[in-house]
Amino acid sequence: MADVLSTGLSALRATQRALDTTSHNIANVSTDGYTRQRVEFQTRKAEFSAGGWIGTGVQVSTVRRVYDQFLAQQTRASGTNLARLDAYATQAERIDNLLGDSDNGLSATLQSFNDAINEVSSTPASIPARQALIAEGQALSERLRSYDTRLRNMSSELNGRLSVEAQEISTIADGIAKLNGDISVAFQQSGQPPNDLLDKRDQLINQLSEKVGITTVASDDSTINVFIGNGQPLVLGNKSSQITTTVDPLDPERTVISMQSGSATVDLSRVISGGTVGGLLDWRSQMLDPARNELGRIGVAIASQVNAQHREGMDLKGALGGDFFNIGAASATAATANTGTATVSVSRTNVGALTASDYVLTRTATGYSLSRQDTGAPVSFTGTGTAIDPIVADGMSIVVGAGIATGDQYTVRPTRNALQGMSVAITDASRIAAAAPIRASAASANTGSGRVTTGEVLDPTNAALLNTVNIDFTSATTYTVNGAGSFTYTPGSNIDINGWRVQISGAPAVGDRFAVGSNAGATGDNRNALALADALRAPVLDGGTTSVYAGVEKLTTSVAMSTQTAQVNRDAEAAIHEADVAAQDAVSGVNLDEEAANLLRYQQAYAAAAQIISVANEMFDTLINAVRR
Amino acid sequence: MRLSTAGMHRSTIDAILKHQVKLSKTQDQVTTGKKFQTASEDPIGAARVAGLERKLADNAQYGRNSNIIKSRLSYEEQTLADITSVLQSARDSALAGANATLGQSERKMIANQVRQNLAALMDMANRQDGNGEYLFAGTSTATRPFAQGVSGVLYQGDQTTRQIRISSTQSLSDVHTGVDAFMGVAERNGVFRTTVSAANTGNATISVGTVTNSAAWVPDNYTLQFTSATDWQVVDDTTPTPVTIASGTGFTSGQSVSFLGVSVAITGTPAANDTFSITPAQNTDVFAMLDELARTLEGDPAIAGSEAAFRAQTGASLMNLDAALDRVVSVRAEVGTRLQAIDTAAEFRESEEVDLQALISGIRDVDYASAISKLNQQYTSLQAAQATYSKIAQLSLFDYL
Repeated sequence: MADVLSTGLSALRATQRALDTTSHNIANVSTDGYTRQRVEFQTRKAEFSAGGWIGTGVQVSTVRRVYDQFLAQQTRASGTNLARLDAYATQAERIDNLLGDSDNGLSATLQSFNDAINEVSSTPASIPARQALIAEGQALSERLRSYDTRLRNMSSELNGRLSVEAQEISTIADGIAKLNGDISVAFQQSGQPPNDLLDKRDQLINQLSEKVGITTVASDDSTINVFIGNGQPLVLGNKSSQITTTVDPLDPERTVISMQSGSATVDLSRVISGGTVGGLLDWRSQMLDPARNELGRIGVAIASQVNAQHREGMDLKGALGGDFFNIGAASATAATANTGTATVSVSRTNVGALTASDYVLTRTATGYSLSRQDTGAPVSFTGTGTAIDPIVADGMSIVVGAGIATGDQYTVRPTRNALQGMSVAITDASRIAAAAPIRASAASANTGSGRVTTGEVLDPTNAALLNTVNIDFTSATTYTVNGAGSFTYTPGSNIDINGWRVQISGAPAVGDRFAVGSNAGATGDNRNALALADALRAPVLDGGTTSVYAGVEKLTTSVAMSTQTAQVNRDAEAAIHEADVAAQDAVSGVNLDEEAANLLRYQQAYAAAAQIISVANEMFDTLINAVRR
Repeated sequence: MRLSTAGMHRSTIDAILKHQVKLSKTQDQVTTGKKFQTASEDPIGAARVAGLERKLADNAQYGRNSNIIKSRLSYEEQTLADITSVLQSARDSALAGANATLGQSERKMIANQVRQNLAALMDMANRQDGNGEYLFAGTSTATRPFAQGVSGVLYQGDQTTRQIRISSTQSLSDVHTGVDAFMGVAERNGVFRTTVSAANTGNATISVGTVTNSAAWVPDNYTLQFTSATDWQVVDDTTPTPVTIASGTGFTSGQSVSFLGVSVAITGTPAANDTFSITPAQNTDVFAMLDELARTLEGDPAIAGSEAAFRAQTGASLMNLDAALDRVVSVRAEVGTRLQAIDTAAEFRESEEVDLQALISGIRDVDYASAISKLNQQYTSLQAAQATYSKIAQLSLFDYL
């Protein structure tokens, strides 16, 4: 009889727990990271009485999280990947939007500059056409500079973003460590899992894994240890490490992610992968830096091609052309950890051999080593770094000053800073060298059929370039130069004098004279303007295989390709992650209909248990009444 | 399989959002008319469009170049036509002046006309185009190309001809230089010149002469000498001792004298010791030719001191003017060829432009029919997703508790 009461009470208590848990589930239907809980019932210990074991009711063995470790880990892994790809793709889209605009892009600006050169070549004496060329040159350098500035800003924005992310990682890691402590205490005290704390910790770990790729190891005391990079401990038990950003020792312009380890900081940038931070770092090294350097390389190629050709021309005032574009110099910066005092100077010697990479020059015990900054791959070079014998590699010439110490490092950037120094060097429209500096003419008294070509410049630096040279034919097959010597005449062959070249063809007669001299006054000459337009089309980059135009197209196409790939990867990963989340949800998520049914079920059970109490009461009454008599 | 309530909502909302993104992309396509808005949506297509657009821009530039050169060449053509008529008029003057019945004063009047022709020719040769650039100065377009010097007209321009691109493969020479158009014209018959010695006492004159066998001709100074009224010899002057290379007897008026592959006719009665010189033709210029004609008509004693010399000179001048006209006509023909080349290139450019536009359009432009039907389809899917969501979301067991 007492057993009926106690059995009824146990049922009341157990179903109440079940109703509590069901309401908890319903209450948390929208809570992020919540795992539905289930009350596990078990029979109470039976009592033996004559005739058998009599059951004594029900009890709650535990409140269980409906949780699948495997699914959770899968979801976390795809979440890390998705966060990385999403960060990468979002940033890549920014560069693509910047460079990929077909109406106002670099390609269109370059075309306008080319058109302006062509306009000068068809009306070389026109000052408005020349002014338009200067304006288009300015527009081109401004466009390149503004791209460079935008990319530079993206880089400094990224520095800020990384520092925020580092703080958040530290905060989350701290939270995980605290929860580790609470969970381990709760477990020890009750022997039962603190489900809501576990949920919270799982959620923080998920958040962390979206920031950066991590590995987790569960330990026996129900704490979880978290490792970052290639095994650096971020959370150990109830202790967490600080993640900060520090200035890249090789590049003061950028920050790297570091871990505070005692008093020292360890650079994690190279070992971090996955998560938002991993995606941002990947984007910086795979897209941002190459794009900036490539733009710089294109600027260098434009300036060097145009300047070289412009120097071979003559302006309206009869002077040889100077530089058309100014361009920033190659740079080398000392690492902050250097102990020596040497300064390193770099110059560009061969545009065709330049790459879009940065380099690290390291002083070794025996000499120097040179490697690419992005991949760390060694680069072969010649020379010893002295002024007479500079280090020559990939189109650069490097001279190291006095005072270098072993282990000193320098970051060498052949093209990074080119665009910030790019501008048009000419302000006076008449200084545009549209004409060739020399002219060739046949004397009017010539009686032979010899004709002379207009001449081309081989060496604009030759001091005697503009001197008048007379070629006099002393016979049908010989000629003198300024009255001296006797040279054999071969029709159509090159005659190279004073840094220029002409060809004479036909049959000159004895006494015929051909004169070559300064082209001053040839205001309508467009030969150098035509050559300028050709120079932009000439293959110069990549060892003389890629023109400036092709370089621009290559850059925009490769940025577009990378962006597209990143978007495709992101979308694919998003689908995978979605499926993972759905699978985990299917197991752990709250279903309101299910909870409604449970509510009904447990309510009925509760009513039935209450009925047991009532029966026990009646049984007790029956007994009392029988005895009273 | 069970579904969580939150998951159910999330996946439906995700689906709706995805539909919205697709719809917005298609809408972008329809509103801009372009299949892709940024290069990353179709990297290969964007690169191809950039290349094709560069070609289009180049073509537009070639078109502008063509217009500039075309106006200059047309102006040159017009000028050359004017010059032709001036030279034609001078030739008429030469013909008129050669009439033996005219007196000296009438010849002088004709000479004045020729002087006017010469002045007109100078003006035309120094014409400037619409930009103030001298047409015939080569590339020294700011320099007045022809100026009167002490011993004739001087060319002050240069001999460089501007090249203008009119297609990706074709460059065209701009206006001819003054040298090409007016200078270095071979005088007379182009091989030798004949002159009557001023000291001659007979009235015989010499024709311009013809070349019968150019291979036999050796350019040198020769003298045709009459030792008597009927006996003659041709002497090569320039060897240290003059050498007689041909001789004849029994000369009669109008007879041709031939030697070394050339033939000259002597008309009239030569006196003993009369001489005629036959020297290699010089290259001269159109201005000098007119000047020579004027001087002949004016009776300049240096070249037309006698009637015989006058007749020889007028004959030579006619020949000169023919040579000058030939030169101008051939230059004009070249101008015509260039103008034609411009038109041909323009036609080619136009058809190429149509092709390029079609290619660009094929890669970049949206096909409205398919884009709009896609838009409709996506619109319907979005509507369906929204409608089913609102229905399914209403279902709850709690409604029945």
